[in-house]
Amino acid sequence: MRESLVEEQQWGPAADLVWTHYDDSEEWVVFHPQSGDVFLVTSSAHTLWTLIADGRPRALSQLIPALATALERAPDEELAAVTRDTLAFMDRVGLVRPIPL
Amino acid sequence: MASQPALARLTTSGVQISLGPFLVRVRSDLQGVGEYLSRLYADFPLSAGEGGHFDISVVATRGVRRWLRPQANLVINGERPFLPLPGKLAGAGFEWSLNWCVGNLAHRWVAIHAAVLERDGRTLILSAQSGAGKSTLCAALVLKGWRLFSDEFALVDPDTGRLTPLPRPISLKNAAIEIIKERNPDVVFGTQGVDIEGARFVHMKPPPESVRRARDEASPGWVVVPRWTAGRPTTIEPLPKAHALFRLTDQSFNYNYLGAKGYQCVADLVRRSACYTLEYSDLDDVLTRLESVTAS
Repeated sequence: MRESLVEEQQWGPAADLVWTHYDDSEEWVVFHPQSGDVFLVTSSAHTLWTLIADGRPRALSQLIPALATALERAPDEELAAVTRDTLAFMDRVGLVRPIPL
Repeated sequence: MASQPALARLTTSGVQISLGPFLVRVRSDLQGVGEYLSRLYADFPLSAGEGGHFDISVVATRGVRRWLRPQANLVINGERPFLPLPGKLAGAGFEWSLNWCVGNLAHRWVAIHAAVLERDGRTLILSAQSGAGKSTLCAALVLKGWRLFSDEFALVDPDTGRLTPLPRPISLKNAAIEIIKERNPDVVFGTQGVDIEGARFVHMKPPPESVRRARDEASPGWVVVPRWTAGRPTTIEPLPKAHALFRLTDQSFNYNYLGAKGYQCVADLVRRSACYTLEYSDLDDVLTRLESVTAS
């Protein structure tokens, strides 16, 4: 695990993840086939992952305003902190991968 | 008991027990195993023969120890995955060996740690940590007429999404032993013991009808996560399915062994089930509430 996220680091999605959503809540469940682990994540985390998986690598500085737009909220410090923490979590458990700079 | 003569082979070539989808060969030179099988497996198809999906031997330690402080060694498919047990736990050791076999070797199904009951072709899955009252609730529901599917495993076919029965004796611990005995004095129990964690335990004989229908599969119906808490009123709350899926994969022995297919199997099981959390202390009250929830 990286000590801290570098702002300009770009990110891509891990391969072969299986995402599951049910209509009775906004949460998502994701299966990571390489580790066999399953994670329960918030709707916002799933949205962040879909932004990363939309076909082009993204840096944290790009993800924060993109997530703000997707969630229809201001790209303020709170959102920036949550985005940073969520990205760090997804990096740690292998849901995203760093793209070599 | 028609199948009893087969038990005479227990000390030699072994006895084959038909357990749901499995044929289990068991051998033992310990008297406790024969008594245990004679008492609790009297309704199961038993035959003299070799071979089977699982080969379990419960054998005494040789030498003077055999007479002074007898030990039971569990040999599963030729391996010894456990340390020896006190000899008086030999019958229970057979059950624990079976648990090990199903949890580690039965990858034809997704195996989830849970008690499962069935009524009208639909299954009620009780998923809980040890000590949460899962087996107590399972035994009480059996005494109310639910079919015992399994006290330990939900076996889900990843190709069809249907559940396969594995009815076996129900393991009851501590106060649950007296609670269930008081509810039905006619129920047959094995010999009471104390396990290696210091808990009193006993196995309850499964109903003959559940054993007779051990090949009758059923569809998903309900997933309930029970928790017994002293003095609390019964509460049944909807459990978000994402939480239910997260929980059932956590309780599965092998979904990840089966990869995405195993995970998708559990996800579909949850999709097809109504999911609840349940907190209770009054057994009669919780049975009434469960009857209501599962009637819909």
